[in-house]
Amino acid sequence: MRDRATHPWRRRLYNAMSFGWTGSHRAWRHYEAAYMVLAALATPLVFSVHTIVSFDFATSVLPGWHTTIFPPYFVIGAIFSGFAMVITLMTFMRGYFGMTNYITLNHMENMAKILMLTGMLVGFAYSTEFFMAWYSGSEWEGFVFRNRAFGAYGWAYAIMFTCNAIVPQVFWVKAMRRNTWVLFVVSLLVNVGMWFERYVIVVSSLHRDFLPSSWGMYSLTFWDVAILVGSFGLFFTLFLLFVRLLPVVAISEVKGVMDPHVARGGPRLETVIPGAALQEAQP
Amino acid sequence: MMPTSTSGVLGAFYLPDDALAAAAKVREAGWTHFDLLTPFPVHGMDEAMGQPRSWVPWATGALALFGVLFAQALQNYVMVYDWPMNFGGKPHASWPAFVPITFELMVLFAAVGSAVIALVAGKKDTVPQPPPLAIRTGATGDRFVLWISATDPQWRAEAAERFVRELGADDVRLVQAEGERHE
Repeated sequence: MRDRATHPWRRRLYNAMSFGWTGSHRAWRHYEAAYMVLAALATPLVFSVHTIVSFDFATSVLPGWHTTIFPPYFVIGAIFSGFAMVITLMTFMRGYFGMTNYITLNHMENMAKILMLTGMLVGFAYSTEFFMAWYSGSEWEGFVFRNRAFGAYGWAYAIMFTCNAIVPQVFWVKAMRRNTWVLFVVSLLVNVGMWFERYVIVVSSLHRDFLPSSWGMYSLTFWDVAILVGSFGLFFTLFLLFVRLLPVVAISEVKGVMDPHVARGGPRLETVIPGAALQEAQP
Repeated sequence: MMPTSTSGVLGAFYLPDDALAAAAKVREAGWTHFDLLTPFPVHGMDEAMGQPRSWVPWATGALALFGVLFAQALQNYVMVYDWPMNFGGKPHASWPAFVPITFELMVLFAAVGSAVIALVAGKKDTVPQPPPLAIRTGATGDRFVLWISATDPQWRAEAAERFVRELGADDVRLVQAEGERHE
């Protein structure tokens, strides 16, 4: 990108940002080691971030927040909603920017499988919460969960449960996993469902706490809506700037897995057809 | 950091396997100040070039340890000496309460440190090269470029050029960059 830039400002920018990269293999060696180490560090970071966010709820005394299941529940929920958001954006990238050769249907299908798995784990977490509310015998806990599902905010709970635990079940069918429109719609529904999960946890636990004098219904103010719309705007502005200005696919990684003969415009030297050798061996 | 303005010989290969074979031959011929400029990390190149494993993970380990110690020291200092507060009669120096910050600081130091160190190490460990924009090797595109620096002890320009040609490299060029001349 740096070596092909023609506009002087772009050339200067990419030049500065590439830190004098020459492709030296002595540099690649360190790059690869650091890449590995960063991946190893990022994985536990996902767990710690969402565990600690959930502790913010779990260390309170409010029924509906004060549960030990929150750390794994939040980690799974984060992976679930993260995959849904990535599917939404990747469908958009494939369709609008024509990246179907880089982001293949196989990638999308694997994402769909993970979405279904984490969706079922989230559904399991919702059910476990209800089981524990009953099994603990705690009057407060039982009230909160009955109220959550069948009380004034039952509609929010229904949206959450449907979108997160039931809708992803369509991915049992292979044709659904490989249908871009189905993937797009389901991922949007999952995003909606995960938004309602936060809504259910925060609002439905707070609106009936220990003191009936502080009971009430939540109503969105103009500023609540403004924050919601503004955060969407901020995200999509930054995302579109990224798409516009920076390489969205790590080209060096694509090159690394390409057949070098094909990359040079030649024919594929060895075409491996699974099962072909097997068929030849049979009489 | 080694100087970037120097001279040497360049030769291009078009397939990673050819570049691997060439790297092994260059090493066997006794050259030490050589490098391969490649568009992506070629597997097996470390062995072909005779390079040791990267030491960056050791730096990461040291930084992670530093992060842990720093976080523990900071929190103990603040919570025990500087501003002790009584939380329900719990001890001031309670390491379990310090775990989240310890973990986060460990990751912060280790991750940011390794990223910076890997970039700096990649520049430091390399052999002297002319500025890439001055020579335009095509190694960030689709070529695998062999570079033998004139700083090599056994450097002789004609011999080096002939050697690189014999390896089957294309587009062999002697580069004389900015002042320094080696014959």
